[in-house]
Amino acid sequence: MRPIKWISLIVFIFLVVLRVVLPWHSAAGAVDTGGTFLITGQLRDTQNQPVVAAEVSAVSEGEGEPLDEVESQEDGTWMLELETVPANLTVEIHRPHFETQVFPLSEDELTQLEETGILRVDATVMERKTSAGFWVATVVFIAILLLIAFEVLHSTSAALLGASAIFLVSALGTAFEPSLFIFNFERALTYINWEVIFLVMAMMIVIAVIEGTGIFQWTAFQAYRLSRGRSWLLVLILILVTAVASALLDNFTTMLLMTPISLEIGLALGINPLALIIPEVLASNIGGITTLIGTPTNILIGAYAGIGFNDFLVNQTVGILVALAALGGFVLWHYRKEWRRVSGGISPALYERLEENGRIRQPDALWKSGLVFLLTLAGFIVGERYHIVPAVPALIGATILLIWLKPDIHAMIKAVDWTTLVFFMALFMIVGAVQEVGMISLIAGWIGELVGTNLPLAIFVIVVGVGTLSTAIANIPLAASMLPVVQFLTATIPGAQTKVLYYALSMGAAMGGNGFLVGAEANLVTAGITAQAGTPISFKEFMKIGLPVTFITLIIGFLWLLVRFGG
Amino acid sequence: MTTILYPTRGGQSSYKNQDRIIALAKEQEANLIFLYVSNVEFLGNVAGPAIVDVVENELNHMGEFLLAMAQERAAIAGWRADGVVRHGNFYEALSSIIKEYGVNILALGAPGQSHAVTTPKFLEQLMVSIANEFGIEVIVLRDGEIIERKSPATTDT
Repeated sequence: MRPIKWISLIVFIFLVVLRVVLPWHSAAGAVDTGGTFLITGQLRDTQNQPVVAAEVSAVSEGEGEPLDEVESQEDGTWMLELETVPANLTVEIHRPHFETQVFPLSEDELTQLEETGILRVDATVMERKTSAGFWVATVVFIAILLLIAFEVLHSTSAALLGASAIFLVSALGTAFEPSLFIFNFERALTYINWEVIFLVMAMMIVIAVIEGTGIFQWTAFQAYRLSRGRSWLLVLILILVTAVASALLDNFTTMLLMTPISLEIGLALGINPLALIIPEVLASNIGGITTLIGTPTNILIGAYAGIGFNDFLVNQTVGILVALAALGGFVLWHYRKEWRRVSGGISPALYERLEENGRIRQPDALWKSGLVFLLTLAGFIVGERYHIVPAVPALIGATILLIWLKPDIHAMIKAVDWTTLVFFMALFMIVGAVQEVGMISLIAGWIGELVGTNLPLAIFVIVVGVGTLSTAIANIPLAASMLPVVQFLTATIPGAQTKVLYYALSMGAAMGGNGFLVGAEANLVTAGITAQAGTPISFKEFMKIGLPVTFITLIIGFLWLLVRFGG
Repeated sequence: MTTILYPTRGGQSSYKNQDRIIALAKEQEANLIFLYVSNVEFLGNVAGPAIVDVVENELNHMGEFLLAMAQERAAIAGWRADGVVRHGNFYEALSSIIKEYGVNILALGAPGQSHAVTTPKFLEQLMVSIANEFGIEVIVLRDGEIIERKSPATTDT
């Protein structure tokens, strides 16, 4: 045996002997409190959700200062530690936006504390109160949604304005009216989901490398070749290709790069190019739902609810395929006149130019980034087993690309869309503010009363309700504010613990973006590009196909979730 | 030899105007230049700067394709046309091409009813500015018909 093993064995035996020989510090049934007296408890709100960051203090009559003061934890628990047990003791709980709770301990409780060293008090139910801060936060939140919806301000500026307004009111307003307090900066920071920020940032770098390779344009051209000029077949292939690309990358980039070449193909075929492009954008909004990284809302939902890449894939893919099939069917019917148009075919010169526009531009970067991307996807899938959050494989993948491909680091940093990241951070704070003041709880309560314990009804309300709202409201803030509501419903409705309502939120938020031209950023940039080619997409034209497709796919999504989760 | 410049976005709604201007160029035995000007300002509020560069490049490719289609229409009609792609501000692009190619006639498409990408007011201002600044004739086309002519001194409708 080697010396190191001998030493290990001796240490192990010594520890075992020590454990056996030394008496337990406490008597049976008592807890080792290290010579202090512990009082523990838990805070819940009226919806049985933990109350976090409440100030809990132990006060004894005659003492100027509290004997101990702590904050409630993430699960609502708190623990006071006293050096002595006074003759009278009161526990006081203060939390902005909740009624203050004060309860004196009885003689029996004090005796128990003295004898056993620990006292566990019953869970305390904290009643919410509607403060002036509630109204301020609510007004700010609604104002921000409107500013974004009507494009009065850039979404990032709007979100920063909202966060600043909340801090300003909390910091200065309280000097005049204490109930104006919403939250402080430290508390606001706790609402920022850094997993989302890092995942989005890493995927931006990965996508920035891939987008310059020409893979999107090549795919669209191959779709054209495969269809052999049959426009009805071409649109079906493009729907599938766009959906897959959106699921793996993101729908915004997919449409930015697919639209120009699709437009060229449409014009060259002599059909209305919008008959190809509008179905593509609808497919991109639907296809992204399949994976964790396909839409920003899925990234939000995944990080909030702990839903991984595999979960989205397994629980959404079949439903999304059915929805895409329905989209294909509707598109074939809606544009039936276009498919009947017979063109003389593309001239060799135009074909050559199309082929040129649809070629792979950076083959070396493509295979390298493709390989790293596949490894990153594998990291998402395998990482879940080891509790590695998706942001980690994404960051590793982005780093490998930066080192392997050695792109201009400044260009890559430029590729990170900081305005979007800042938007997310400010948005998290604003949603945190309305959550803090109880507005989200109120909405959760209303929806809870509406659906009761009826899971199918809850799924329907979330899928169709959120879907309808997101036809007009930006889906990222909508999903972010609905997450706590869905969390509440998931905890209270029997059977919802499968996280089905989060999938319902994912489907509703993304599919709703198809309703109107303003429903999703991908729609708007697509319209921007087609306008550059003298083929603008009018609001009415988009709505004529977008609205029916939205409701058809929402119903399919709802039915699929019922089938999948046995609602 | 007269040089005619026709800025186009190449959509189906511009085909009639393209055909008319090709016929005019052929009739006057003039050089014909199709111009495509891409502009990525629409991405300003929604896309990061890196993707803007990529999209600008894509729009230039798209412009070349759209002009190739217009040139093919000219070839079918028995006339030759050139295509120039520029990006950025439309007026600046127009000005530089007019100077560079010694353009004599500028043809502009009038805003359509439902597919308008310019406004009548913008078109009017553009006509006046170009005619005055460069001393060239400006004609306006709608659905393949010349609906307005403007030279530095006269205006016919």
